Amino acid sequence: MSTGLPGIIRTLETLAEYDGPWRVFRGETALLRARLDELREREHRLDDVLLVALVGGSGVGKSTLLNALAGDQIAETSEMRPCTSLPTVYHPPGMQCSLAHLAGVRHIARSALERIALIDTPDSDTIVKEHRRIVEQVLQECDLILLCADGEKYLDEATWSLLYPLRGLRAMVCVETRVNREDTTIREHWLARLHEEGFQVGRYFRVNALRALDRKLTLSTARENEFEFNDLELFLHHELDRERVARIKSSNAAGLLAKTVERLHECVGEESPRLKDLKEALDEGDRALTQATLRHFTAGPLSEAHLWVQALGREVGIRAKGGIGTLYRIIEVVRSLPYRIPALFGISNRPEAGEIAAVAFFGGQGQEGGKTVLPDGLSIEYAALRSKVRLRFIQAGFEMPEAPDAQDFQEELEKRVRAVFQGPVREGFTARARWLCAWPVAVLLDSLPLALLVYTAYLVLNAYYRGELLPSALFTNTGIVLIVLLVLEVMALSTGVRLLAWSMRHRGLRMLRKALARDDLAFKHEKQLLKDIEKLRQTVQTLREEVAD
Amino acid sequence: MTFSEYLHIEEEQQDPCGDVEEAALLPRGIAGFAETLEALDRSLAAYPEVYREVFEGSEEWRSLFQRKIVPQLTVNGCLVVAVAGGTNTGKSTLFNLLLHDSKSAVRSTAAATCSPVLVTGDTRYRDGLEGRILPGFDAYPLMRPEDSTRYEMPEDTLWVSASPVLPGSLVLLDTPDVDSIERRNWKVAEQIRAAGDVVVAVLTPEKYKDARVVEFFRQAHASGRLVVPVMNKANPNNGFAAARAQLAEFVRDACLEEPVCFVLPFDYGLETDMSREVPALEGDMSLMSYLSGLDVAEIKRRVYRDTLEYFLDASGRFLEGAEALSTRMRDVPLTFDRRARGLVAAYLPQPGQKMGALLHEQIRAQRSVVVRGIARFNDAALRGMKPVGAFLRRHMLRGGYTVASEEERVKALRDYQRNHLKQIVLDFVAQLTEYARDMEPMTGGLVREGLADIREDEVVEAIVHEMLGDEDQISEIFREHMARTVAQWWHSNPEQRQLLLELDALIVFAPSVLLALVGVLTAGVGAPEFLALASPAAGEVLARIMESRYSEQWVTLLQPWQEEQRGKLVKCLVDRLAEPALGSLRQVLRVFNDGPLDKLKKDWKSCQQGFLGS
Repeated sequence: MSTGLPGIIRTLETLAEYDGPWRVFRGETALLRARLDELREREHRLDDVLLVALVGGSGVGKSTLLNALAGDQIAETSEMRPCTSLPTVYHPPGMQCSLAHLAGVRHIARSALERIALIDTPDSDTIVKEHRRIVEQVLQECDLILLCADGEKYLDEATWSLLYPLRGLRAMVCVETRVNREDTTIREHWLARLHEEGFQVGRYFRVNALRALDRKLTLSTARENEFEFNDLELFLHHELDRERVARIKSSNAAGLLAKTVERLHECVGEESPRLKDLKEALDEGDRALTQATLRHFTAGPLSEAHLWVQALGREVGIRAKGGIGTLYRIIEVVRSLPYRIPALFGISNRPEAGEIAAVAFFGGQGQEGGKTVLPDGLSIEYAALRSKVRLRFIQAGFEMPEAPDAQDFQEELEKRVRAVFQGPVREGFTARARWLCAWPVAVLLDSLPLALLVYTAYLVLNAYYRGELLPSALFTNTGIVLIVLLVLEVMALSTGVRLLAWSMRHRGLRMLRKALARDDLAFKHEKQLLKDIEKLRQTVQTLREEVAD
Repeated sequence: MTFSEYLHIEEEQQDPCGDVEEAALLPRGIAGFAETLEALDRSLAAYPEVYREVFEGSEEWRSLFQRKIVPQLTVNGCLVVAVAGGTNTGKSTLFNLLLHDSKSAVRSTAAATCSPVLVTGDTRYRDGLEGRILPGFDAYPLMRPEDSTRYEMPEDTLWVSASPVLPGSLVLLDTPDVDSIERRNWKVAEQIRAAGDVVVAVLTPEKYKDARVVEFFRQAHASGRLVVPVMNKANPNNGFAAARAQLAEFVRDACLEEPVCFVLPFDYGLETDMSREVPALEGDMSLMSYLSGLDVAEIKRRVYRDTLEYFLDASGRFLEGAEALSTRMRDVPLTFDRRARGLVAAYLPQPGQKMGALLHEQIRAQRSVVVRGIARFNDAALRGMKPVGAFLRRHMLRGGYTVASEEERVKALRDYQRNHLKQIVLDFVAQLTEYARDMEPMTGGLVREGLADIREDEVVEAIVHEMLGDEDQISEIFREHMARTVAQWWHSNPEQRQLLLELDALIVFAPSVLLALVGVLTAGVGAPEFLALASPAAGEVLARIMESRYSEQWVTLLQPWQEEQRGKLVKCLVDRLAEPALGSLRQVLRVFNDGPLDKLKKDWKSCQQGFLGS
């Protein structure tokens, strides 16, 4: 063991605190907690005294056996059944006994048996049901069971049913009481049946306690027909030394630990194929959602080319320099009037696609609050997928609360879309707009109309000095050429904007696709659940390996 | 309805058995009850959980019924004496002692006897072997005493032997124990107890107070058997004083009524010396002479009467339990229905058409030919202007977004509806699964069984198809419904109708009036252009006004259609999900409601009447 018993108990404690929605495991925690309490108790008591419980049906002679071992009438015996109704604890003087919480326990502190406390219990089988409950409590506490029975009661279901849950958890010694004959068929039959049912029996003693008690009370020394009573006494006095006591206790604790961990492992192991299916169902839902998102965004509103042109046009409009630039700016303002005016008066009634575009390209400027990039169509598709995943979780035995709204998905989506549009896309737009509005471009664009104007001015001045009269056609022609030139140049600028916007759209959509296809778009809660379960499973696995060591 | 209420009602009705002679009522009722119980058993065998729930605790009275009441009708029996008790108390020893012969093996180990041994007088040996004394068991002739300890034989094995000691009026049975870990022995012992008339309770100082033992004999007495306690291995000191006290306690615990008690002292010699008699605690009668001296007819009559009474009581409770169970199960489908309705309430079906235009169309349909003609002209102009508007918006006045085409809009709407339906169906399956999980185990098990066979994906597709139909069905359904509703509304709301008509008149005539004005003022210049622009624009603007002015009206117009759609969805959910999930439950309910249960009640009733009459 790498961390030892305390470490294992700590791990088990964390497991017992599980309060998640996995019902299968949560059903185990109550039992686990009970076992843990017992384990802790046992760990605490490892060096203490060995608690030996005398258990058996009514009238088999438990009290007589205790009296014989004590050599005194300390427990009441009688012919009427049941006789003992409260446990008697017979222990060495000065010993602390942990049975104090049982009401009515009688303590007799004059045992000569070191390290051992003998507990005489009520019967396990009469019509007084209360007795059976007391025996159950004593059995929980004890370390060693001294199972008493005679030929009539060794196979009674009433006693066996008490012992079944303690298989492998308590050391057991069988005592056949009221032995009168040498015939050992009962011993063989009893041991064979115990073995068949999976009980491990440490020792087996055939005794006649009544004769031993009589001998001790009459202070005689002649042992007659007591069978193995002497061996039993020797066993209790000498064989149960400190080392043996410790070994019994730690083997009980180890048995309990092994049983606890094994049960956990079985419970988790049985569920693992279902969990695997669940994981697959979740992955499938995740894939379907990613695809739906991509479809909605890269083939939907954000892929419209003219939106990208418009966005770049706006950037260019802000920065435009020179004559042509100013002209372009004016045209841009006029063109955007139809959608700016309603926004200005707050009566905008754009359809959803427009909202999404506005949020993406302009960061939701001029929008009232609460606008989102999540289209209703995608929202409901997510809801359907989420319902499906939730159903799978319920089918796999999880307790799932009603699916909440798509808040997490919406936030994640918004984050990603904004990250693309406010980051690289915006920068791209700015860079392209700067390039288009650079001084050389402005100078280049303005130079031709300016040259024409300068040339015309030169012609006018020249004619003035010469005193000639210029033909009126010259002005008309120059005017026409100038207008054509201006139109062509504005168109050239506009085409430039268009081309650059196209390239920007290509890059932007690629980035958007990449951003949306990244993992963990949604189903965060469900994924976290599965991760927790996986962790739980691994903890149990490690525990099992540790206990097996 | 509880069973007692049922009986009450039955009494008020004219009972068809009323004129039948009461003596015939009982045998007929018993025969019917036996047959129907068998049928109920068979029909429920396919549902182990329900079977367990229904027949839980019924083993006792059923074996009583099958082994005692039914055979009584056919065989003129003799007194059946069963020797019973806890393991290793000396049942077989006492049995051999009674017969003065080793008929059943005596072992020092516990739970040795596992099959009953039947010993008859010489005259009835054949009856015993042919199963006429103890029906339901497989009888074999006993060859050696060890036969009764052969665990490899099936549970219904019965060993039969004859003894000259026994009078013809007695048969003696050695039974397995009632308290060891061999549970098959308990079952056999309980069947023997049911078949017996007299039960010899073999007790010991150790076991007279054991819960299992006391309970066994308490039930034997309660169900009408004569219980004869024998204290074996008794302490003979002080004239059996201890045994006397112990027997008194046993008699009290098992609720016996002053039985004659017998006593045997502790003695290993009894196993081999079989010549002794079993003496009574008081007086000098022996057990054998006591048993032979019993009035067979009287005991038989008493046992039969008490058995019948006990049976009627126990089976009456059984029927009440079954009735309560079926009531509980009947509630389940109602719960499912309620849940389906709860989920569907969130469903908001939308028609795939623009509401205003559709209503407009409906109103127009009510108007005169002239108005309709002008309106049609206006509409045609509007349609003609549409591409121009779209071109302007797309290329000149970029509106910041694309105007989706009508087909795209309908498709998006359909996708939305499809996903919403999907969500509702899946949520319903989830609710059913959760409900089945949290229900009581038996009903839950039945529902889970049905749920396991449902393929959600296929059901979702089927329901979506049924709800949305083929491509355009959504608007077709709506259009039809709208026409119906508008026509109805048109007739029942004259004031609002008037307002609508006025609005419509404005829409239709305003462009023409303005056109005339412009024509007069400009002497015809620009009139066609004005017409092309103003008429559609006015139409559009006024249609919008109408749409917003009457938005509440639209909602009420939509409501019945939406209700209808929701009802359809509920029906879909119930038919395709709840009903398949409830399949097994319904079958079980059928078994309860119009199957054997009703008949059982009738037979029970005639049994009771026969019993009360006799």
